[in-house]
Amino acid sequence: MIIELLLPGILAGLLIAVCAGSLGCFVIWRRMAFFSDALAHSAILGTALALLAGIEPIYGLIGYGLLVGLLLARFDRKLHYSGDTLLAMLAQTSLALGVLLLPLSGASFSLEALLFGDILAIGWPGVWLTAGVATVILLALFILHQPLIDLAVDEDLAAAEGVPVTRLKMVLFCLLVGLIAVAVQMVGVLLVGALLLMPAATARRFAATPVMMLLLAPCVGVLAVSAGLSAAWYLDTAAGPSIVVSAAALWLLAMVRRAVP
Amino acid sequence: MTALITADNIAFKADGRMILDRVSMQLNDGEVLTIIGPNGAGKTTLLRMLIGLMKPDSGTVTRRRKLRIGYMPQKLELNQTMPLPVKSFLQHGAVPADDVTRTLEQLNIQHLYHHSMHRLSGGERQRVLLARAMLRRPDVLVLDEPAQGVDIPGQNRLYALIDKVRQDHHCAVLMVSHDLHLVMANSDRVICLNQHICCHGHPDNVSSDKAYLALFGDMPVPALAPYVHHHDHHHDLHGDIVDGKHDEGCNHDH
Repeated sequence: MIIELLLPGILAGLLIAVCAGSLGCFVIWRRMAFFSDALAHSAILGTALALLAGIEPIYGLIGYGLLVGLLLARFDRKLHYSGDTLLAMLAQTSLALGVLLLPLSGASFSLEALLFGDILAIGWPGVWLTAGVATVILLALFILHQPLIDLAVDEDLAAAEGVPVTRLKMVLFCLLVGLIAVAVQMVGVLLVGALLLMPAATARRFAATPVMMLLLAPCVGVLAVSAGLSAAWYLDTAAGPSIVVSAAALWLLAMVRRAVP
Repeated sequence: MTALITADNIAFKADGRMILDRVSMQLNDGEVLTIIGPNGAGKTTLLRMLIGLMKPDSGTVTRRRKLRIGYMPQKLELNQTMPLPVKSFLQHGAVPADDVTRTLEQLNIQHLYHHSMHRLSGGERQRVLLARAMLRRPDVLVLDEPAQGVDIPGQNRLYALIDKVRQDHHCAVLMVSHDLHLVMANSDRVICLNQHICCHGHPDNVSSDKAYLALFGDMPVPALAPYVHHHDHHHDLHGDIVDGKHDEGCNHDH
């Protein structure tokens, strides 16, 4: 492997790690771990539909992600299933349907790359796109971190104090869809969730305040991506899974330390 | 007196069960209004509607424009995955550090400043919640069963504290409670709720109101007795207790 080939992947990977770290804090604070996983799994149908329609997969990912969110928000309370049942069924159906539809598109697309990521497939256009999405995410979190923290502390308390709860939840959801769309290419739909959860969970061991955790988690994410990509480079392992294993290793290491209350 | 919050004929059903039945009420500037009633009377639902956390099926709730609400919820379900020291919990938004220090001193909890919210006792947590509500410089302090999870001497102190901060800040207080004797004395007005408004008025009048007595019985008033609810009310046993303050909703059984 030559470094020029890997450079776009490295840059995109680091950008994604930073965003996933801080966004992941909100995911674990608001107990959305399962939600983000399901959202990522259903991304495969978005990709398949985009390829069938002959457009860039990324637009399919974002479009379908938003559609899933809209469906869930619309039917959450009315169907008498709890949210997780509905979410799981939607994700499973999307995954299965996506796998069935993918060959029909005729595009040469490897299922393995979609499930576990293919960092070498990220080119310079991919880096620019990731940079764009990352800018939006980081800017939004910079401006809205305090109301978002209030929302994560207690929704009722935030609402009573005049925080626009519904709109903030929509913002958080859209940021998540955007991140998953750009991250899928690097770590695949099955492992995107890990990128969100693991650095945030690791940062929790060291952080004493919410803001500190929001700043620490991206650092842990960058460490995990660097370690994973180094492993991929020197040991010739698959990049996506290497990143996730690195993130898990960092979390285990952090568990040795006594947690901050 | 100007109205801060007005509820006009609001009704609410959940799973086919009537929770609130044609409730109309008003909270005025600077007054202490307490909503009392047995468990399941719809007190918390009414409170949540008044501050906009829930919408009624019918009827309207209007709040004065830009009304600042300091809310103290019944319980705070905190997630341990968020590190949350008291100082971060209080210093949200642009609260000056001076204010935080002064409020903590006033509530006698300055020693908790660096503690984690996850490690506080029930009474400590309630006082921190009160501090957060006060730091907003609210027009109205909204308290949902403020003394829950607080031991009995602590309850007395908490109510005294609420009374003190109210006088210092000149804000209205809207409170839900079933600690009758502790709250009645401090209230300007009491609303007795059991799905509908059974009676309302000055505590002295309410405590001698037949509908109130039917709901809570003529209990002796030991200063520190925990409140025990003896029986639900049955208007039909008492004959004609419908007076001017009642609507026709009181004629049916509950």
